[in-house]
Amino acid sequence: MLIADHSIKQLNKLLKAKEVSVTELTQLSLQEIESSADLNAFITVNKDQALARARELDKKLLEGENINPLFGLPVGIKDTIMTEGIRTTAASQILSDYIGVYDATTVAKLKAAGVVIVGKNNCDEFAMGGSGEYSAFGPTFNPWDKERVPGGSSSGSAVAVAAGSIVFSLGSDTGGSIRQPAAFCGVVGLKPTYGLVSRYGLIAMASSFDVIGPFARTVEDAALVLSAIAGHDRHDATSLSGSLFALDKINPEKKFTIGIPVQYFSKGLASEIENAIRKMIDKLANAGHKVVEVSLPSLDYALAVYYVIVPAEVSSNLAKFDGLRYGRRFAGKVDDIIDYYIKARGEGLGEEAKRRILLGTFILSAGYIDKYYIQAQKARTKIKQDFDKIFQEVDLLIGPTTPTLPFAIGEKSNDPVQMYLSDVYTVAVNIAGLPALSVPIALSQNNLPIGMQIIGPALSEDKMLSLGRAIEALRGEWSFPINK
Amino acid sequence: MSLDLDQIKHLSKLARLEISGDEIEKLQTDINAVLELVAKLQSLDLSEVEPTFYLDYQQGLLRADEPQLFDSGAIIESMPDRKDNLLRTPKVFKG
Repeated sequence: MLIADHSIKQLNKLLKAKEVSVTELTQLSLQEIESSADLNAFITVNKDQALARARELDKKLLEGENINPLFGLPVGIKDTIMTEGIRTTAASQILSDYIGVYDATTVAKLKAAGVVIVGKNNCDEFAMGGSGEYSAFGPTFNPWDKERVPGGSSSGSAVAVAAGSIVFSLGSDTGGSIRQPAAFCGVVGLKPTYGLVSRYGLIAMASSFDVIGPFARTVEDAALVLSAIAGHDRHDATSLSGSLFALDKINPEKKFTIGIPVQYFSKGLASEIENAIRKMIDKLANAGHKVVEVSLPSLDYALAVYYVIVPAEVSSNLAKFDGLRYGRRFAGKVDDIIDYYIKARGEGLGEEAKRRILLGTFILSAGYIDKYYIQAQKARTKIKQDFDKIFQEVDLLIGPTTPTLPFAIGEKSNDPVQMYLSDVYTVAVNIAGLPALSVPIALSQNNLPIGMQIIGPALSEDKMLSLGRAIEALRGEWSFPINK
Repeated sequence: MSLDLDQIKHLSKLARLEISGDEIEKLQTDINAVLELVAKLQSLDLSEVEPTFYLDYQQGLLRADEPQLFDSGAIIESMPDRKDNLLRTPKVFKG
């Protein structure tokens, strides 16, 4: 039996029919993790706790407890998300031996739904990066081609789902960190509306952008996970109130007016990706959707807005990592406490974290805050207004998730601006707080996955997932690179 | 706009971040490249536009003013170096 051959609903049926136990499923997952260890998708494998938990859940299964859809499923959690009693490092040296002291709300909700956490997924340090290479625990590798990056920052969460070692995972998305690795690894990645899913327990990167969302092998699976983690949380001040997402509203037969932003087909888009996207657009039109070309002129400066506001928020959020309160201590000689902070942070934080902290410190400093930070927040308003206006005319937008196919390991890791350019189609969504979904639609000539991005107005997850299901149906069967 | 080495050094002090000798020039190059990437914002006339600092699709959401106590035990337990319930730090004053 392969985990990758089964949807969540199929696994649920097998569990209910007692054709497979939670322990068997967990063992299968742990074996797959071991046999794909060269992908480096996990920072911590939670073997003993996972097996103990599986035995507990099997008892419940025998007692005939009501089995909800996620019950008994082995899952991975990005290592920026807190897990009680399990090491939570954010892929940073400075937290390399930090054990989580409470569960993030999303983790608590998944546990209540009966999942088994088999491990913590590798990622770029503090979720900063677009390739999975900026991890203190080494890079993650793309299962479709191990010479290439899996995307980032939620690299391991995407890879472990693509490699079939877990059923689904949680990642976080600040500027594309779910959608871009989903596209590069040929899986579904869902970035929810800002505020729909609680961030309590997410180690914050840029708080006005960060969201938590799922990776799964199908749109239906991603929807099931979203329905388990969405909802109000009094521990997150930005959490929205009310019942804002309902699975039963998803209807793959529904026809939409779909906008194609011209800015998503600018120069720099790989021709193989453009061709695949245009083919799918034709299929959607033939299937009865109304397709119209639209323009969002402010998208031209979305990347600039993002790379001003994000470092500013990063420099503030990462100030709490003083090397004193969490994880390991700096062991070298110091003169006094200020000297300690300087040395502990200098040793414990990686290259990209340092770049963003220094840049953010500059952007927020007296004399420059108006020129950079305030100006970017004003431009953010323009981007939000452009989306608001376009969503008066169309239900959803579609385009590519990434401008290029997965690039080679090492190709961009020394050139941050080149790395940032790979976020060009994803950052605007976070700037406006909108939901978006990446769905694999085709393989390139070299057998690398291509993702299509669907963007909706705030809280339109049901529509976005309906169209995602329709795109999957038009694409047809999709297989995963198991044991390649 | 580009930053010189002294400015980078000053920022690293403000940010409490030790930068080693071989890191600093690379950081300077990278930071200046990012400043160039974001320079296009300067040419936009946004004098009439209000900034968006926060995204909130539901405004003025308030919760009941009831204290909820966090179990501090686990947090105290997780401190890497402590004496009783207090975090032990390096000495704060020189000398």
